Amino acid sequence: MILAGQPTQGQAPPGSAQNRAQLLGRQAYPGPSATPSAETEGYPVTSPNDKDIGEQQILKRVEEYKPFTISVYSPVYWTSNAALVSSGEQDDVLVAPGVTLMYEPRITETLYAQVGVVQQFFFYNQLTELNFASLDVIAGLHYYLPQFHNLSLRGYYDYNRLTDTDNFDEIFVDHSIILNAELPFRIARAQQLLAGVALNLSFEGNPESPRRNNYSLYGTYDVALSRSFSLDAGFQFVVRDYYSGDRTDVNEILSVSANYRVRDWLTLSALSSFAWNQSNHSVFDYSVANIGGGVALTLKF
Amino acid sequence: MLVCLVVTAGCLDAAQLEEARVTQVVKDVKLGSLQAAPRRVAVGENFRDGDSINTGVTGRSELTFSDQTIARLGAKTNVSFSNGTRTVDLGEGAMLFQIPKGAGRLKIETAAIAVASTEATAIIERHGQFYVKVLVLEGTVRCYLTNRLGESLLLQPGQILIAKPDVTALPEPANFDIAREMKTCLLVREFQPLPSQQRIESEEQKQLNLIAKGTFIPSNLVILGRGTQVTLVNAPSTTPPPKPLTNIGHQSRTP
Repeated sequence: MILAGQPTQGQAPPGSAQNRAQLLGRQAYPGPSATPSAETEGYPVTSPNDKDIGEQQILKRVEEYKPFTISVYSPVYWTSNAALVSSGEQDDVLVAPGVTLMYEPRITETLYAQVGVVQQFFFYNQLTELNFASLDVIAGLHYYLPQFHNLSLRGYYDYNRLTDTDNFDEIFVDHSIILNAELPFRIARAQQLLAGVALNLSFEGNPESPRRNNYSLYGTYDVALSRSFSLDAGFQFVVRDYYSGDRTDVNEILSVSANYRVRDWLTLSALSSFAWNQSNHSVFDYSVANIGGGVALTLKF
Repeated sequence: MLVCLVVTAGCLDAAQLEEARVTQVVKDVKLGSLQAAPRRVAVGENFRDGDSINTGVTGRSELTFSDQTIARLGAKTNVSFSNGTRTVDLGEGAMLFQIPKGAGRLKIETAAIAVASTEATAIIERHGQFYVKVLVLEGTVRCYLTNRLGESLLLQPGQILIAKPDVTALPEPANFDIAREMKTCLLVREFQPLPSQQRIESEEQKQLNLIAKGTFIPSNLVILGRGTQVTLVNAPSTTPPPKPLTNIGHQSRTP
C-alpha cells in the first residue's frame, strides 16, 4: 500500500506540496512589534558641565500602534529536489510570490488578536505540473509575558487550502490549531537568539493521506550588522505524525538569510535553506537544498 | 587600482584631520603633549595626535579640524587625540561636536562608550564614574559599547541617551526638546552660530510638527542642568521655580 503511493519521477508525492509550502512559505506571521522600554538607572550629583549642556525638556513619544500589515513578497529559488522525492531528484527554479494581510488589534497592553489571510503561489520553471497555490486563513490570539523574559504565546486556528494554479481546484484542505511559544534571548542590542516550540494539530483534513500533526522545536539567531543589513540563521526540528497509516517523519531544516532593508517598507534578501526528511517508510526520505533571493514590500497602518 | 584608490582616499582622509587648531579660548585652557608640560593655549595654535587639551573651571574652547569639523569644550573638560585626531578620548567634561557633510568619520570614546558619526551635531558629556550623556541636535550618531559586539544603537535628532560609563547594555534613548536645548546650552550660546544651525532649526521644526500632530507630548520633566536630576515643572513651556525630585529613574516612562 505504501509502495503504491511512491511517486514516479517528477511527480510530487502526497503531501509534498504541503511540505514545500511549509519549507518555503511564510510560516512566521508577522507579530506586533512591541519593544519593551529599557529602564535607566538613577544617577546622582551635579556636574561642572551642567550649564554647558543646558536644559533638556523631556518629550514623551506617543506610540502609534498600527494594527494592519500588508506584505507582498516574491522569493525565487533554485531547488535541488523539486518534487521532494527520495530518488530521481530533479532540480528546478521555483518562484513563490505571495501576499499576507494581517489585522492585529491590541486588546490589552500585552494581548493581541490576530486575523489574517496568506496567499502564496509556487510556480516551477520546468516541472509545471507541480505548480500549486496555498491559502491560509488564520484567527487567534497573541499574548506577551514581559515578566517572563518576554515570552510570547500564540494560539490560532489555521484553515489551509492547497489548490492547483490553473483552475484553483482543491488538492488538499486542512483545519488545524496551532500553538506556539517563543522565548527571545537578547545577547546584545543587535544580536538575538530565539527558541520556540510549535504544535500544529490537524483536526480535519481532506484527503486523509497528507493530514498530519507537526511538533516543532526551533531556534534562530539574528544579528544586525548595520542599520540596514542583517543576517539570520535558523534551525527547525519537526516530527510529522501522519493520520493515515503509521507514517512518522522527522524533518530538519537549516536556513540562512541575509537581508538588506532598502527602505522601511522594502527588503531585499538572499535566502538559502536545506532540509532533510527521514521517515519510518524510507520511500518518503528526501533531502533538498534551496538557494535564491527575494524582495518583500511591507506596509503597516 | 581600486585598492590604490581606497588606500589613497584613506590616507587623504586621515591627513585632512591630522592637524587641528584652536579657534576660540575662554579663560583657562591648557594644551598638553607627550613632550612638554601643559601650558596655556592661544587662539590659532595647532595641536595634533597625542596632544591633550584641558579646560579650567570657567574655561571653554573651540577647536576646528582641517575638514571644518568643530569641537567645543566645556568647563573642566579633558580630551586627547589619536588616530590622526580622528579619535577623541573624552576623559571628563562636555563637548559639542559638529561634523560637516563630506568630512571624515569622527569617533569619541569615553569609558566603555563610543559615539561616532560622519555628519551630525551632538553633545557628549562624561561626569566621572556617574554618567555619560549624549544628545543629538541634527544628523545621526552611532552610540556603541567598545567592549561588547553588537551593543550599538543609532541616535536620531532630539534623542538623549544617559548611561553609566561602565554600562554593559545601552538603555533606550529618550526624546528632548531641541529648541529649549539650543536656547540654554552655553556651548551654543557663547560661541559663533554653528554652520549646521539651519539643519538644527529644521529638526526643531520637525519636532514642533510632531508635537502639533500629537506624536510628541511635551512633558513637565526637565533636566535643568543638575547632572541627571529630573525636575518637575508646572507647565511644559515655561520654567517656574523648580521642585527637585529624586534623580532620574524611569525617564522615558514618567508621565
